[in-house]
Amino acid sequence: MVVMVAGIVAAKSSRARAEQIAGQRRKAIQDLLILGRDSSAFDQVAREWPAELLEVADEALGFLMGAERQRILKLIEIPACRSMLLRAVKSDEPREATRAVRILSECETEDCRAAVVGAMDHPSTVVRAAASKAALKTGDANLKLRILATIPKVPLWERVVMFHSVYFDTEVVQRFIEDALAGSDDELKIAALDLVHAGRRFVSAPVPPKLAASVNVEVRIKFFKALPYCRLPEDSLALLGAGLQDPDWRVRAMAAKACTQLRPAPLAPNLLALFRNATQPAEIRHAAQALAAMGGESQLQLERLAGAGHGITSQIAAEVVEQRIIALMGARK
Amino acid sequence: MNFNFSVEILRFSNEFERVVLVYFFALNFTYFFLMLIGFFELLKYGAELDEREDFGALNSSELVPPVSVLAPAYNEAATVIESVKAMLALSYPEFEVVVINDGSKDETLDLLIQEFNLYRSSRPANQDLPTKPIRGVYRSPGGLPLVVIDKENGGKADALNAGICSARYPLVCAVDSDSLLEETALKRVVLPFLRDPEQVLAVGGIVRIANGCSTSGGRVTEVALSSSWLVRFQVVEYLRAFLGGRVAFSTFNCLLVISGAFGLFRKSAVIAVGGYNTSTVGEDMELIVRIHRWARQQKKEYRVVFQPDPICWTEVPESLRVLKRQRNRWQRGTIETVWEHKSILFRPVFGLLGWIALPYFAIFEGIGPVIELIGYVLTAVGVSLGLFQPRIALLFFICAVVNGIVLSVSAVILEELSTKRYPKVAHMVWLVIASIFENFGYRQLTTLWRAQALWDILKGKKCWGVMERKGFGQAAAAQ
Repeated sequence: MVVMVAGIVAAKSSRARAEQIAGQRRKAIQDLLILGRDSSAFDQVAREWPAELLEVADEALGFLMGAERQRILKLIEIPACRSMLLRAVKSDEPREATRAVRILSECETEDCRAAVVGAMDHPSTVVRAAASKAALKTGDANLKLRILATIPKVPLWERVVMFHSVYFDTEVVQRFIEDALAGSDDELKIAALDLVHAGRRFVSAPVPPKLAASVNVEVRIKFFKALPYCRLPEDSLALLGAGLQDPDWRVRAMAAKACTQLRPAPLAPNLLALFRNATQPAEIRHAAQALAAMGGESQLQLERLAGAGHGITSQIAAEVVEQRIIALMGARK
Repeated sequence: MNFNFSVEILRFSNEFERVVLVYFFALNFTYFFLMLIGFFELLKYGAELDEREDFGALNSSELVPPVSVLAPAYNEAATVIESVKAMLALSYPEFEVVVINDGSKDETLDLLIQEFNLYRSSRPANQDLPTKPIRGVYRSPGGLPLVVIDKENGGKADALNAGICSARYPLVCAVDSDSLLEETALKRVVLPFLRDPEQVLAVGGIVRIANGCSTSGGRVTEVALSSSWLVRFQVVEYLRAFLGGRVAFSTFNCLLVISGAFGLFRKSAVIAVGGYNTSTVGEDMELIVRIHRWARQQKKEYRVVFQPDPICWTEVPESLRVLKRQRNRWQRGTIETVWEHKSILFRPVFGLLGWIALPYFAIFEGIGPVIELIGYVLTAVGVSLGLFQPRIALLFFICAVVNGIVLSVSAVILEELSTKRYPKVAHMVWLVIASIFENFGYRQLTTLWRAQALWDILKGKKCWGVMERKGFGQAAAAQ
């Protein structure tokens, strides 16, 4: 027991000392990155303190922009540093390999790109995921399309992280979305619609209207979720109208939510009907919000409904009207 | 009739000693096994976590499910404002904080209305779960995602049920309004829902002790140990429970306790099982057991998960009187839950839940203190009557103490190997010393209190007892 206790204390104090030394080294590297112009000093740091250099460079590239970022990238390309990164990317320690992948993904040389692609076969899932994300940024079009095609197979968590790495406006991404939505694989369609929704950027690719009538309810839900960001088909009113009458309440709710953003005035009667007949609070609320967003007569009708009773419909209408009034008061202030 | 009283006592004592010995070895084997599993799981977890990238992606994603944070408050005027500010400053893409004022007799509601400039809203609540009447709903006009529900007093479980009915989002996070969540706690606790959105029904985070720490703006700014030995003993206990037991049970998907101070749930699952049980004082454990039971009866593929890094800081009792009340309540909660769900025990349909997890709680946590207490008493009686050799009794006591020390020190080692929240070498030294000293008096005292809880249950005691709060930072300032 005494040995155990002594072991803990010794380990803690040696760790504290090691952290102190590492902290000093990190500080020295930061100074070198900020102020230093001498690449030989950087070369020496890459040889002597590789772990700390990885940590500082990775962190710095996470938030630095512009000329400062370019200067760090230039320093990283010196031979000693690059060979250290190429070694680190194969490290068994996932954190070290992941850092190396992230830094290498910023370099545009062939060997760096090849190392990133090679890391997609690393034994650690964390490193593989980091390499896939990096390749989405820097890989060639075919590689990017290949990675995007794997999205349906990765869990939601990985999907969130991958979407974070996608440059949405690139031709590759637009092509992926277009192909996926036009294809027959429902999982791929769902992934592409998720990507559109997560990106919150306008998609220039045409969205097939047939998705609104898909037999797969998940596709219909995601379609209406993504619709405000899509190039609307000519019959979008008919599509939204059909969505508001879908047999599944989740689809109706998403169609109503899309109406909040698109504000299709001719659909006000449909929204009002949905608002009156819906049973789920979510669809009632989205319908009410869409009516409120349209303003004018739609909003007046909503206000009348808010004061017309004590049921959940009236309560939700009252809340939506209240929120709108408060938002308007805030805007006036 | 040839009846020799001493011989009969000796025979009974010997039989009981045998039971105690078997119990002792079974208990310690289980504890060591749990600790070992915890050790490997924590190492694996630490190696897989890639902080910067993961949490950066979460901040801006539309795909991350929004969360309603539910904070029941009853007479929490001392801490509620700081806690709510900390909750509102959580780093998460979309969330709302729902504070449920459970008929407080102090100025909890008034303080909230004044501090956040709340107005009375017409926001409705669903009637998915029965609750005591709601007196009013208050919201912030400035767009703060804060909702305060004022209701008649019905207890913590009833308040949480009211919060669930009012919650707008598909995930609900139950927290104590006297606790402080770390800024990234919500993002960390939601990870299992993102990794496995189809199967995960509930996730528990770790609860740590804020006494002695410095706080500012609703955040723990400097982690330190309290100078109170009572608090240090509790720190060791919490480490042992969270880093050993819960990690291990979670690995086998039979985690039965998600602390009421910090747990994230799928709202639909909580509603499906009928919400929190208002008739028990251990509503947090009871809900988890009911979720397990429901999911297994429905033959669902599901998971109830413990995450070791989403941290919730809480104040623990600094007086024996309040600690006794708390432990009594926890013990009654455990026993009530095990009794309520006794039909799960050893039923094949419930798998490890029925064969390992619930029996563990029934035998080691439920009636364990009574067995331990009888063991102490019989040994003392046996020695004083000269029926046992004091040498043997002493040896047994030393074994128990050494074993307790090894387990506690192992928990401290786990902390040092995994989350490393205590920054100074001195903290480790004090924790190790506390791990040793807790075996001389503190452990026996808590055993006595827990055994008393069984008696209280038999008497029909139902009350919660009052937790006296100093307010965060007060303890540290006082030191």
